[in-house]
Amino acid sequence: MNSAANRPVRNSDARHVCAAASTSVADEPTHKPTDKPRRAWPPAILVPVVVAMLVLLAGPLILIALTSVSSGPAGELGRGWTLAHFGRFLSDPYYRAVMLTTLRIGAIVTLCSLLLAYPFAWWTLRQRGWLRAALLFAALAPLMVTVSIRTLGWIVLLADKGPLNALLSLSGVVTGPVRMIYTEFAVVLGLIEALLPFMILAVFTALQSIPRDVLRAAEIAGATPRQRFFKIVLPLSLPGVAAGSVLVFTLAASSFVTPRILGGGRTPTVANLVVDQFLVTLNWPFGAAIGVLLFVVIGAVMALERAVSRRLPGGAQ
Amino acid sequence: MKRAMKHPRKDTPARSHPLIVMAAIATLVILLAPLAVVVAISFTSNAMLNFPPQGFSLRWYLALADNLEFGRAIVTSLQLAVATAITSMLLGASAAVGLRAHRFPGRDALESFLLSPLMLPQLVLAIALLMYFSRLGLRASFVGMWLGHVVVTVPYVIRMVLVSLARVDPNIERAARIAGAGPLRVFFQITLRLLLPGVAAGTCFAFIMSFDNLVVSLFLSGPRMKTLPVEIYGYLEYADDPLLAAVSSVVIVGIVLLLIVMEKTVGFTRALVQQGA
Repeated sequence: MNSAANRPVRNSDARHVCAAASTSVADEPTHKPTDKPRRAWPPAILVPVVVAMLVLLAGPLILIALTSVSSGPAGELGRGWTLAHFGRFLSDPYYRAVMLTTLRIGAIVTLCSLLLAYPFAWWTLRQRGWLRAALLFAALAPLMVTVSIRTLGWIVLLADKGPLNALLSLSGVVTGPVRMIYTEFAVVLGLIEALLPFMILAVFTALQSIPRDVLRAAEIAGATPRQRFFKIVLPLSLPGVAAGSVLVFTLAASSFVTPRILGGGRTPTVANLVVDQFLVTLNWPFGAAIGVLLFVVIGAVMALERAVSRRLPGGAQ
Repeated sequence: MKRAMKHPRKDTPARSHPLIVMAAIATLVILLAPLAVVVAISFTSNAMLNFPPQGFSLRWYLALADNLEFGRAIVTSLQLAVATAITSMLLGASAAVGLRAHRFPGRDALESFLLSPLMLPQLVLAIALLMYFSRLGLRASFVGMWLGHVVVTVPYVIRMVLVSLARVDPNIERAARIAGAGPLRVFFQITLRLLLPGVAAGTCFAFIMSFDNLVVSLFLSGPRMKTLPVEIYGYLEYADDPLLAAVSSVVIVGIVLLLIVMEKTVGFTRALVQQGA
């Protein structure tokens, strides 16, 4: 793993070598790396994947969009169109409150994940050898365990007679057991744990790509560690922070397993409204409309991030 | 490496600010505590899902061996994960090769389209597929879940292969052409070998992501066709049973072992870090 610490430097070296190589053969256009065969049509090798994604992705998405505006009671198409499902959601104070709760939880989870992930990524990057490899592995491996299992762990940890309550009363902070499970706190904590690896990955990648030479140059020029962090590291890591934040927010705002299980049904989220419409109430057109709304809100946040990131110093890449 | 030894870097001092170390440790605890608790509790000798576990026994593992529901769910999940991994490997690798090997009008748009499920909340995809498959009679079927999982995993395979292709020096292929190899021979003997690590990593990820998937599976499963995450999820809402901890521990240990093998061969963390979040 020691070589990983050197990777950014070696990469940029390689890039310079490549750039030098391509300029040296620039007078022979047929040898330029960008000179792939140019075609009027996509190559045949793409046909299976494009067909599969048109049938399995575009088809269902068109169907959900059409269903959300169909006036047939069971979502049948061709019985006229209506925006009533969207109107029902947006005009009902309860649903609007649920939307606000969802956005609030998403924002809190994103902020907390960032505050935990940034120091962890920074600290991990400064370790060497096996420790660094082990830290990265420990941070990313939970991503690969299904969310239902991780939720089970929190049910046990946050129980009224669970270890966290035992710790709290042992330290004398509280007298009786504190209600943690089936509260918004449990939902937020569970979501932070579920989504932290994504944030760590985004921040770690961003920090790793900062050229060491820049930091060394600043050091030689007399910058203090604090100046180096706030003037170089932090600005250059902002695109990664933005990308990670949007990803975590998106996943938090559209999650339903953690809010449902750890919130005990007391923390309704938009995603859970969708689930109820599809699996309980069976009002599919309304469920489709809520799903489309959720998608639009998330898409808007993503578009905003893109627009902001393009203006960030490291955002050119 | 040699250079690093000659000039020990000054910019990585061993000591970090105590607050940073504390935040990093808190992060690790939050990430690992739920998993550690589940494994610990699976060895309890009483019938309560409480921590700390009482005594030590393997009774819940023995009970698991007799449990038909979980046994069937594990088999379904494994079959589904294998089918999904193979399909997404074939579709994803061919997509990445096609996108990279040629220039054609609309290539960037096509790439965005093929990678778009990465941006789509899985819940939206799941309900869309539920409505779609209901019309096609694929609801609550193995085929439906398989196709749904493929949509989720293919973009990951495409991206991993694209990332590993981007690191391949095109001059190697060109050198083979100049040395007299035909296009097919170059593809099979050079290109395919160069992108093998990316394809292997992508396939492993597709396998794990399918095995883990709850959201798409939950909507496309049925009473007689449940995956393991769906079965566990069903238990979570009411059961208070250490059996749940035992089956979860089996999954945790299995996944961690697989990830360690991946780390040693294709580089699990490297594959993730390379492609970014």
